[in-house]
Amino acid sequence: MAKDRNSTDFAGPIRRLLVGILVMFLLGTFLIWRIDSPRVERFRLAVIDKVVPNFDWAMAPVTGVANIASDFQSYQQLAEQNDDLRRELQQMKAWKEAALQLEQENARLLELNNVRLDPKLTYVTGVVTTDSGSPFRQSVLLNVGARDGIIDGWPTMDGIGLVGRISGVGEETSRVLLLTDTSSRIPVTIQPSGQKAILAGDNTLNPPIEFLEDAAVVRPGDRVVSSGDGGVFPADLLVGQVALGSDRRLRVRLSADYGRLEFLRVLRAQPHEDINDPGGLLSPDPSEADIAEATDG
Amino acid sequence: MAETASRQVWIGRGIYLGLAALVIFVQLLPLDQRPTLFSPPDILLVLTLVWAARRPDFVPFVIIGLVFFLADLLFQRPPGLFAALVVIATEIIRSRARTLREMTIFGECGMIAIAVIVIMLVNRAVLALVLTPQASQVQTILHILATVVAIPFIMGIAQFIFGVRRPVPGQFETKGLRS
Repeated sequence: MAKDRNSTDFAGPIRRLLVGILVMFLLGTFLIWRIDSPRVERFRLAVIDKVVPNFDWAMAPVTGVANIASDFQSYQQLAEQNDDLRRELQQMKAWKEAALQLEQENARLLELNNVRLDPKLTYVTGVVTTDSGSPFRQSVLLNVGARDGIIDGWPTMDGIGLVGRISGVGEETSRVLLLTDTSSRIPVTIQPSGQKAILAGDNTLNPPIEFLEDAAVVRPGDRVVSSGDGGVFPADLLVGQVALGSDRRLRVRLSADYGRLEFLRVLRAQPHEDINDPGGLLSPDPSEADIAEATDG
Repeated sequence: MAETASRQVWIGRGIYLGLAALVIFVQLLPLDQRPTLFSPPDILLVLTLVWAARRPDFVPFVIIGLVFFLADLLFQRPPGLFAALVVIATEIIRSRARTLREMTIFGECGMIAIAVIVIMLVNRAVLALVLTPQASQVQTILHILATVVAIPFIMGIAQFIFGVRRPVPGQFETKGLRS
């Protein structure tokens, strides 16, 4: 033992006791986390809220430089890409024309039918500050938090498709649980067949579709949108397209560009109004009925 | 002489803390959110084990505990479990520091590899025991493999860049007498 003393701060038994206390403390934290996870998760977010903004000054430039480097690689295929884009643009113009006409027609028809649609969603845009740091957790940190009115559970999109949902809000930061995380489950509808299913993240880029009622009517290429079931998400947010995985399972090719998440929109999803009242029996007023019976008799 | 030695130890601790902060920082950079099958090695773990095997005086258990607890919190891991396992593993390595010093470099490498594998497997076993959702087995195995492969590189970097050499027999004995 004496030989070891030089490499330690304390002499034998006391030191061993302190190590024991530290290990007990750490394991205790783990157990508390397992039993009462929300409390510990709040503590975690408070720590992240304190620590991560200190990294911010270095984080932004380093990320910027790394992105420039990856941009530089893509310059090689620039000419090719340019041609593709021009062709695509031509097609898009035709589509845009069609869409405008349809929109006008749709508006007219809705007006005629007196249909009431969901109110438009507004959003808060945040910048992605950090990654989850672990290869087995898929989440990012945004620089908007409770200060900006963010609430747990709100959906998050990049410009095009759904990215994930808010899970954990700090004062200045909030965590977005990506659709690819193993604990992410969202209800989706597959168009045009209208099948309802659950999109379950499994730590791969293309999450599988689960609990599908009839797989025969779903084909690769179908659109997948959020369904709004269970009040988790507003309906009709674009998620991606159905694709057939190499393991013959139906998976979703996500529309959001996970390769570069930079600015994310947090949609202000208004909670649905619940109908708690079971609904009264439609019958004549009992007091009136009594009177009617009395006069009859 | 004794003073310069203790100052050296503090510099060594500072370097370890700086490296740990750098590794955490790089892992947090939001470069690409696409999940991959091949996960990068756990550099922080290897770094700590190499340091613990070579210069235990540079990595007191309190520093290890704090660094890994912070990493657990930042990386969304279950807080505390991984940190506790690393502290236990480094304590075991520390208690064998003397036999480690007499081993060949391959023996040292093997010892660290065993520590890495045991830590990760126990971590997974405990998480399975308390029914926490986890990554798939294939991913975990690839992660362990990548981490084991990283060991010799980190040992080389420790030796040639940061001068964390295996102490020459006799180095500690003289210092031990003085302090």
